[in-house]
Amino acid sequence: MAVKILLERELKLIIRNPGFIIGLIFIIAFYSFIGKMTGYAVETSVREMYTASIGIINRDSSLFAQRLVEDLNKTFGGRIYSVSSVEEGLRRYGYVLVVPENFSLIENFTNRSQVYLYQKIDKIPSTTTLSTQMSSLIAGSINNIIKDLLIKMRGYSPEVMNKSVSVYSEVLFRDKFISQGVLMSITGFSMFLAFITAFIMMMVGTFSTQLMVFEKIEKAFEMLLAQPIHRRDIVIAKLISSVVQSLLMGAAYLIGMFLMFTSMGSAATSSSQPFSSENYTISFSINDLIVYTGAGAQILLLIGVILVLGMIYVGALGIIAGLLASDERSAGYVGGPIAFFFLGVGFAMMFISPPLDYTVAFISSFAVVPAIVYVITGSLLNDYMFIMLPLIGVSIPPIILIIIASKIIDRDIVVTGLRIRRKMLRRT
Amino acid sequence: MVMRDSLERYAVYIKDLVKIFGRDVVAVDRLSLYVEPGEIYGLIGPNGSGKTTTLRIISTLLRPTSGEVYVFGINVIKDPIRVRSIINYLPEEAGAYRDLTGLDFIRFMLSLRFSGPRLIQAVEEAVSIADLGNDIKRPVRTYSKGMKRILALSTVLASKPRLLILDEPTSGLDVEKSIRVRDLILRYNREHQITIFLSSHNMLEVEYLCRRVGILYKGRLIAEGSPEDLKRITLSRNLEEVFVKKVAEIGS
Ligand SMILES: Nc1ncnc2c1ncn2[C@@H]1O[C@H](COP(=O)(O)OP(=O)(O)OP(=O)(O)O)[C@@H](O)[C@H]1O
Ligand SMILES: [Mg+2]
Repeated sequence: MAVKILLERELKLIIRNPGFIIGLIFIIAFYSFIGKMTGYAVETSVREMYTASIGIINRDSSLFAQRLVEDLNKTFGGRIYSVSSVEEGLRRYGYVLVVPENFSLIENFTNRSQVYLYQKIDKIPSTTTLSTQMSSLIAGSINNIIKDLLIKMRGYSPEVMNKSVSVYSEVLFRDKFISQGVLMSITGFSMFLAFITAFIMMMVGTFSTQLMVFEKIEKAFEMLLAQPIHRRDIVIAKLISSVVQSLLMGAAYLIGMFLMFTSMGSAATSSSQPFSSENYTISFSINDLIVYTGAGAQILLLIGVILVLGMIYVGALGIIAGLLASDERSAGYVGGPIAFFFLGVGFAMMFISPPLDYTVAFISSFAVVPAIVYVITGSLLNDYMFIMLPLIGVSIPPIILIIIASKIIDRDIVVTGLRIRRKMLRRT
Repeated sequence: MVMRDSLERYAVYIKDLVKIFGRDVVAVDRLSLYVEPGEIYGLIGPNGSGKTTTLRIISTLLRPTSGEVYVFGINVIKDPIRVRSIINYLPEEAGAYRDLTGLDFIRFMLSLRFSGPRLIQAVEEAVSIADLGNDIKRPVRTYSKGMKRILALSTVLASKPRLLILDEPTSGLDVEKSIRVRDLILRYNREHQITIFLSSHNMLEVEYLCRRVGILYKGRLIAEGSPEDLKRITLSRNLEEVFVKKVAEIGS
């Protein structure tokens, strides 16, 4: 009986809180928007793949190779065009397939026989643009055709057909050729970093809101406000404290993950599956990142800087929420959607390929997570604008927010608390 | 309008002060009053009459909707930091950080004003005012309501500001503690020439402490004067009677 009464009160408190309602609406609207965007991006890239034209360079003049190209053209609905160089082909068609010399000397078919597939990417790679699907599509088709041809032209019996051709893929990323494997690993690692960043940022928001709200709850705040200090110092102290708190938590989290994967890794090794642990993948990706990006180990420093700026950013947002909130409950409701926003952006980055464009790099960096992706890309391409602009972009919101927080803490609202009245809500 | 340099002759000078919350809650309505240096001025009035709001405005916590407020000639709106350096404020509900010990709280608050030997001296003074014995080294979360009140009060007294603003200083205190606090207020007022602007619901206390009293009603000053004058004019035996008569008179 008492539970029912208590529960009723709890539920009423939640439902009557405008912050909660706004938070709900925001999260639903934002995530369905992200869903639409990613859905569209995935659809476009799949459609692109199935309608893509492919340039071909056939360096093998044998009849076998000619038949291979002809049959491949049929499989791809006549979308295969002969080109004279990889660069030209990429410029015109986006994909180029190279059949090397002596490819058709079937006796040389080993398990390592290769054709070469080149793909051109002008956007930041994401899991959708940079898929292995095109290579596997081509590999599958070629292998089927070769099987047919070997039977038809050389009279092989199907039983001995255990040889296959593999596709070696390279990507022309704007103006730099990179192995698809490496680019995939770096892209995957960027996504991982983006998520970690969003996650750690989420913590800062919670911490800073708490610090601010608890100041009010503990009732020492009014006395503090009457002391002869610049009130922005209160903001800055809380900001630093929440960033440090979250860095410690984040570090503990990473160390924990590392230990977890290391233990998993050694277990995997002892059961003779050497490269299956995620720990391996992660350290491998860090290695790729350092080796293949121009910036060397400094790239990690850059990412660290962005992380800290992002933390200050969300920390300041949290403090503003805490300053405006009249109680802990409403502060929590503001903090939630803020955190989910950055997580959502991190998620979207996996599917949406932002263009290699300076303006976009600058503006999208206001949402922090894209800055990481751009900075990695910039050092991969040795284009320092893609490092500078995101860094500037990611610094602007925190500075503005600190200024706003410093202004708010000088106003009545800090003492009286923001009250969003139902009337006000209805009017808008 | 009083001349600028003569403003400095007032510890508090308030002219046509208005504070409106939201769209239409008039908390303070064209309030004008002054407090002379060295005096203890008491603001009394029913719940919601605007006492806390007025004290918060003087303490730079709220901005007035209109009107002027000067503390020793310093404009509260234009120069809040200078005002804060010569005042201190005991809020209506003063708490302390729960995880700090009483001593740490005193040290924290006072270190925002003093450093070096002056800090040490001020902390010692606050500790002796608080008179909490060994409890001063226990976390504030273990304190009773009255202990917290004493802790906060000792901190603001030991800071010896030129103007001390006290919002219901003895609320929540038992009889003995209330008497002690009143004596402390009187002592600091006399020995250190601290001007005191306080609000209270305790007429006995106001009569005992204050040289002048202002009665607020719905944000307006409806009577002002020394307790003796007010009693004489309204033919009352004590301040409580004055209060009831005045409020009834205006209310009708
Ligand atoms: N933050 C606020 N938002 C809206 N109205 C407020 C706010 N603070 C105070 N008020 C209103 O202003 C008026 C004066 O309040 P105030 O707290 O100054 O009264 P008070 O004289 O201190 O009362 P009490 O004796 O109960 O402490 C009241 O009507 C109150 O409802
Ligand atoms: Mg009050």
